[in-house]
Parts: sequence; C-alpha cells; structure tokens
Amino acid sequence: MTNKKITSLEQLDRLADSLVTDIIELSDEEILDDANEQFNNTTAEVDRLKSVINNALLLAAKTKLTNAKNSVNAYKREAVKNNVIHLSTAEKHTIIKNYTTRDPELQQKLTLAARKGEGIQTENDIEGMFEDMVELGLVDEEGRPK
Amino acid sequence: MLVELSTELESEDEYLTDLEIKSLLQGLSSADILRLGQIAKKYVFRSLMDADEILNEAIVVTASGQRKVPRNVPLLAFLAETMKSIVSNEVRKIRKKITPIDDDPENDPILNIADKNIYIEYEVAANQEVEKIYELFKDDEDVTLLLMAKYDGLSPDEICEMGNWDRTKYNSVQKRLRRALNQRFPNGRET
Repeated sequence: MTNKKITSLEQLDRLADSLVTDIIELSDEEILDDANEQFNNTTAEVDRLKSVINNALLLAAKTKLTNAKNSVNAYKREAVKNNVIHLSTAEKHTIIKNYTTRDPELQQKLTLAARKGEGIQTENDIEGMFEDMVELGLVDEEGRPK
Repeated sequence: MLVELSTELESEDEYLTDLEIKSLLQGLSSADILRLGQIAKKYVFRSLMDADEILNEAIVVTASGQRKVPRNVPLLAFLAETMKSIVSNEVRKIRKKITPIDDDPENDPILNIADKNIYIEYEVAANQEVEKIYELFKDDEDVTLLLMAKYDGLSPDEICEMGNWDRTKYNSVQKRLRRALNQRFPNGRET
C-alpha cells in the first residue's frame, strides 16, 4: 500500500484506458448505436474519419520515400568517399581542370566565379566538386571521363 | 549464412508488412472506423493535439514502419496503444525538460518556465476535467461510484464486487457513463 497521491492526470489516464478497453470490446451494433446517438449523420462521420486515415496513409508513404532517398544518398556519399580516397587533392584538381577546359561555357563561369572569390578556392571545394562529378557520372572514381 | 538468413526471415514474418497494414486500414468496417475515432477522443485531454491529429500520427508511425505491428496483436488494439504512447510521450518530454530547473539553476530559465507553464496547463486542465466529470454525474450515484473505482484503477470484477453488481448492471452503468461523456465532450475535451 502506498500513500502516493494520484494526480488528476493519472486519474484521467485510468479512466481513458478503461473507456478504450470498453470501446474495443463493444459489439459493432453497440458502436453504431452510440454513433447514431452522438452524430446527426453517422455515414458522414465515417467518411470524415476515412479521409483522416487515407491522408495519414499518404503521409506515411511520403515519409517512407523520403527516408529511402536519404538512405540511398547517404550510401552513395559514403561509397564515393571510400572509392576516391586514394586520389590526392592535387590530382583531383587536375582532373577537374581537364574536364572544365573541354567546356568553354563552364570554364567562363568558373573564371567569373573565381574573380568574385567564389568557385573552387579551397581543398574542400575541390573534394566537393570531384564528388559531384562522380555522382553526376561525368567521371569515374579514378577520374576517367565516362 | 543460411541459418542467419532464415532467422532474419522468421523474425520479419512475425510482423505485418507495410502493404498488409495499408490493406487492413483501407478495409476497416464502419464500426471499426468509428472505434478509432472514439479511441482518439479518449486521449485528447492530455495532449495539445486534437483527436484527428492523434489518429493521423498513430497511423503515420504504424504505416511508415516506425512501429512494427506483431501479427498476433489486433490492429485496432495496436493503434490504441500507439495513440496512448504518442500522447504520453508528449507529456513525458515536457516533464523531462522541466525537471532540471529544481536541480540545476544554470539551466535556461526562459525555456524551462515556458515548458513548466505548458505542464501546469496540463495539470490544471486535468483537475478541471475531473471536476466537470464528477459534476456531470452528481445525481447518478452508480456512475459516481463507477468513476471513483475507475480513477482508483479497479478492474470490472473488483467494481462489481465492491458495488454488489452483476455484469448486466455493470454494463448498463458503464453505458450511461460512456454515452453521457460522448454527449458532454463530443471532441474529447471542452475546447
């Protein structure tokens, strides 16, 4: 026997648990009787709840898709990171330069970006650009054009 | 390797697949759909969400695979438990956040006061709800007895023994309680 005072929240918890058990155990007929007493139009209430359920199913599907995409992207990033580790930053820089010189438009954009202090400035920029090129399928992990 | 694979398949087999869950939910009878709506309303008193939001959240976490449904548990009972867990976590998170205020004065006082206020709101609302329910049945001795017994966590058998009721009487009093609460709190709570 404990002297701990039961809070109102705990009391309502117990009442809710008991009422929920009751709702689960009631016959379908009793549930429909209760609903007919509570709602002017039980069919409309059922349709409204169906729509809540269907919207939730749609949201669940979107959540799953987003999670799957995130997993694939994380796997790809990890795979690229593991595969390109043996190339030095200087080698990657050379590969990037070789690639961009073949595309005058891209070359011009990079030159303009460099003038503004943007573009490929640091080692991180080089690593990021190289990973992007591998992900886009422009070069393989060894830096060979595809 | 083969043994590992077979164990994995067996354990996967213990739970409903996402497709099975979706198909079961889309095939629910009208009575079961109404049951889910009623169950969600029973948990709103301790949540900042409304009944539809609680039902929505329970289905999302179940159908997206965040909570696995064991094959031997009826889906409705599982969803009821999930709804309860969702609203309990809401209160637990706030309770956990405000606890350090008494132990550690270095904690961010603004954050804690805000959370503490929300928790106090829960408690005040719960007190008022208990009072309103008693008030609703002040002229019905049987329902008042049933309520007190339920607040104390007594089982139906214990309540029958205490009130010297048979099961028919118990069911009849329970029905009065259920229907009056549905009428008085059609959305599960006052607001």
